[in-house]
Amino acid sequence: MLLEQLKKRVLVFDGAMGTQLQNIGLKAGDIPEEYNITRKEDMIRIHKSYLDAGADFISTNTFGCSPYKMADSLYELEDLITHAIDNANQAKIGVDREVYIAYDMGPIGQLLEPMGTLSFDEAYEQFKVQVEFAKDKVDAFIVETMTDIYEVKAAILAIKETCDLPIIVSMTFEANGRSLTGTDPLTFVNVVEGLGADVLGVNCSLGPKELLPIVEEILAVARIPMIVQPNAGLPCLEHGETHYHLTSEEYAMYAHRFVEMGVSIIGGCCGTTPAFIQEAKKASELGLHFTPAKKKTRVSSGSKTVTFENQVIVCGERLNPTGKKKLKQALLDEKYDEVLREAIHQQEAGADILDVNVGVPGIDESQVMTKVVKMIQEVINLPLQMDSSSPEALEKACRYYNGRPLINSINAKPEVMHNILPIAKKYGGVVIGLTLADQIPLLASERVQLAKDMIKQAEAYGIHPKDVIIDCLTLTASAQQKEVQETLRALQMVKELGHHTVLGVSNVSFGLPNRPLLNRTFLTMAMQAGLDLPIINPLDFELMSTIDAFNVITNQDVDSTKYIAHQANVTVEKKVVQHHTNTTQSFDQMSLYDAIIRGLKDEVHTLATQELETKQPLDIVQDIVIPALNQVGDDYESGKIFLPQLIQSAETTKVAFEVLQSRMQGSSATKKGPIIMATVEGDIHDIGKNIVKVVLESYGYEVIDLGKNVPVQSVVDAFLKYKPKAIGLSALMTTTVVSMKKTIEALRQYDEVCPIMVGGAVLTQEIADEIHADYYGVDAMATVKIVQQIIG
Amino acid sequence: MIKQTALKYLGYSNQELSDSFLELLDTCEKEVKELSHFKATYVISKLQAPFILTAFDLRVDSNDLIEALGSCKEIAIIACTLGSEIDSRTRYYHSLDMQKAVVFDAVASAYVEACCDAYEDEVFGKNHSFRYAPGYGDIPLELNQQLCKLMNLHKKIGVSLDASSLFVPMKSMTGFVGLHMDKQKKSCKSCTQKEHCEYLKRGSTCY
Repeated sequence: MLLEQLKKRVLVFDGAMGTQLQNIGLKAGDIPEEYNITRKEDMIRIHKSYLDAGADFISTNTFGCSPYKMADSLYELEDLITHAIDNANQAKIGVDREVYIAYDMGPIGQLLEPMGTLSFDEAYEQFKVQVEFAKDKVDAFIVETMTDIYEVKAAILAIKETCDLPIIVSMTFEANGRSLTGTDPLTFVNVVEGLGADVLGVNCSLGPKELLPIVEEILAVARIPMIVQPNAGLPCLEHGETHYHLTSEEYAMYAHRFVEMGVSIIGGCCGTTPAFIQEAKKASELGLHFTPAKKKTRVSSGSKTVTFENQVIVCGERLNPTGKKKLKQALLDEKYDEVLREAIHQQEAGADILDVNVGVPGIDESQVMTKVVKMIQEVINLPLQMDSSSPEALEKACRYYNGRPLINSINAKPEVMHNILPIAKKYGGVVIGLTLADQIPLLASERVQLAKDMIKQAEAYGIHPKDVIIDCLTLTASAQQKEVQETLRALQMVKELGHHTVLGVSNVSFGLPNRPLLNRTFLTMAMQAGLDLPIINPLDFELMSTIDAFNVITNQDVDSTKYIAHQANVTVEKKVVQHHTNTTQSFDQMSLYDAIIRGLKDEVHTLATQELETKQPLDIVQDIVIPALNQVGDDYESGKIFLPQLIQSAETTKVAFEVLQSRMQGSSATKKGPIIMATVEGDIHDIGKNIVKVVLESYGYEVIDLGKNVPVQSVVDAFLKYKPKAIGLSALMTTTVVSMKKTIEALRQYDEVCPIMVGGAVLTQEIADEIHADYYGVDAMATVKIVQQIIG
Repeated sequence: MIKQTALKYLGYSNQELSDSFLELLDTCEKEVKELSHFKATYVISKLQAPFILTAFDLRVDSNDLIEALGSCKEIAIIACTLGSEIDSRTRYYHSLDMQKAVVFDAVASAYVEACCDAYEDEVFGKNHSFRYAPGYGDIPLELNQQLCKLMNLHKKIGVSLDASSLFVPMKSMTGFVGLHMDKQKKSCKSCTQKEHCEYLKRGSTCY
């Protein structure tokens, strides 16, 4: 049994396949996996040569067997895979020691969303198809040469949800110590261990010398065995051909080093030969040196890991619609830009983790939460905390999340634990446990008992105690003043038991005046009692400063570097702002009109507010904003200003509109539209559409942005739902104009469809006519003129 | 140089630029340089008339290529990228500051061109032609599908093609470079976009 052997000795993997195939005639453009059928004897011979050199594994010649890559092959995928495994079995004949056949899966060959167009579910299917064919015939799976941790997740789930075989996961890192998509070794280890892989490691791209620091970094934190398969040195491009220069003797030295460091499986990647594997075999005889690293509480995004140690970690609470009318409305209206901006501001204010809650009656929480999580992850690399009372929403969000999430939350009620703990186990989630059952216990000791119960139950599900963070529940001082201290006592006791703690702080001050004062005092006391993870508003500078101060007093912020950086700025900034306005025009002389013309985003808020002192909002729009915009438009068309300046003015106007809107009675009073905009299916380029959107919004039009790569049906659904006054479609290339045509055809099935405008780099009037669009907008200003014609 | 090229991509034709805009341009240049992980790979091939790359047994049907490089003995087929962090940051700015997003994007486009030019000079010496890329003139864009597979770009430099045959990461390019020859004069003569060209309308060129 493979996993048993890994506890006893160092195992040897095989060496390069690609290099061996090139030696027997493989040319650029050939499909290596076809050799499983056309060059069977050679394949068996190559496998045998590695076994003879001492390898304990044969990895099948199936590295490129994703349906996507094999679409060009003359052979059926099932045949390629079956023959590959058959060849490995044949090579085993006559070998009288235990040898493991590992099914080799490489990257699919396409980039996953959000950078590319391949969805997570599609990626999952690409792996699942292969697993189905191989699972009954091999001893293990190896997923290797991976550069995208999200793709790794799809592969692990595809294997785990189809069979019980051991999983080896190997990633490729660049010389700078990160994968191509920006994953660092710590994040790789944390995510992959959370998903339940059995072995993890690195292969390819680098030689053993360059891999040393990465191997060291991984072994410092890995709790499962490690595999290393270096290239035979760094690839050298000589006259367009790739050469590897490391000798097997040099490799031997590193192989010994790796084993001494604690590596459990040693093999070779590009450029290695049976001679290298012989050296690996010798090195393996040094014996097993692996000891699992200490367990720590860690959560990750795809490219960042937060470790719970001594420092206080801030969780931003603002993405929660409870008590936030604007956010609630944004979620109902599907205006996700607002949500994103809230996330970005929290990151910029110094949050370490973001809570994500979209619980609003009337929306499909599962669907919206998944969408919001994906959107946030496209733009922010902070780990996220999934906050929902719906197990379905939590499950979906955790599945499509890239990384290792925090889950908010379970409590001590059996049905809640039974519903949510399996989700945490499956996706590696770190779970917050609220110390309540049917009621909140008043005494600290009772809350601690519930904490112990939850941790015990989590262990029964295979979740490590360190992966449960306890919330002792902040009570409201105005209603339960005696019990507030019980929270602090309970927190201290839980901390002494060795568990991490979390609290939502602002509850303490509900109903009392000067809430910020109570909040930051309670926060200080809680941190002293051992609070690790306050869930707070990171935009509350005073509250964040309390943490800065705490870190100075407890010697966490050595030399008070962070404190000085944050607190010194406070006074400096005020001076700078005043200085800035003196150098342009004095406030009395600059007008709102000027601010829009010149794109002065910082000043426009104050100027718009000033105008409201003497004028009605609608009059300001008619007499100042629209004329200013028209001037900007004219200046753009005459070439007096160019694109970035147009956008700057448009964004300035948006700020002005936000100020004016807050005073207008009936929010629909000046909102014209709506206009639906989308970049069509298959196209991820949306910079043009986003420019048009900003300019249209600056003219007071309401724009519903469906995003990029929008399926035909989604555009139709949006048309039926929102009944827009116009639809704008964008496409960059001739290839995606086809999607545009299909979208228009689908819309035209409805007689009452509104006017359809098209735009994008490849579009021309001729093409627009050909695909039956109503209008062609060559740029943002032209589109505004069209919309003014349609809507007014 | 990079800033000037970026301005050209943004449609600049001698408009007045404020200090804050110039600062924005500087910041974007700095950020693009910090976030880029330039990677490149190439293959050298002999050429058979009319335009068959013997290294891949690949025939390219393009009069523009034949005219520009048909007389070469050796061609380099080059591929390069700035990496996916540039894409991430562009996405970030889309949500936060559209003006910066547009400027950042233009600077990144200028930067990948500059990096590729420098790489070519370093590897091939100064005696090489301009880079002729699939998608320009009559060089078929679909060629990128084949080049991606033949050169194993996903593995070598982390570049792949999305559903509409566009590169991911976005700031990636392929091109044909003639070796042991001098750069020819550039012109708009054979460009398929010259009827609709925004640069020509402004009295400028894309090069």
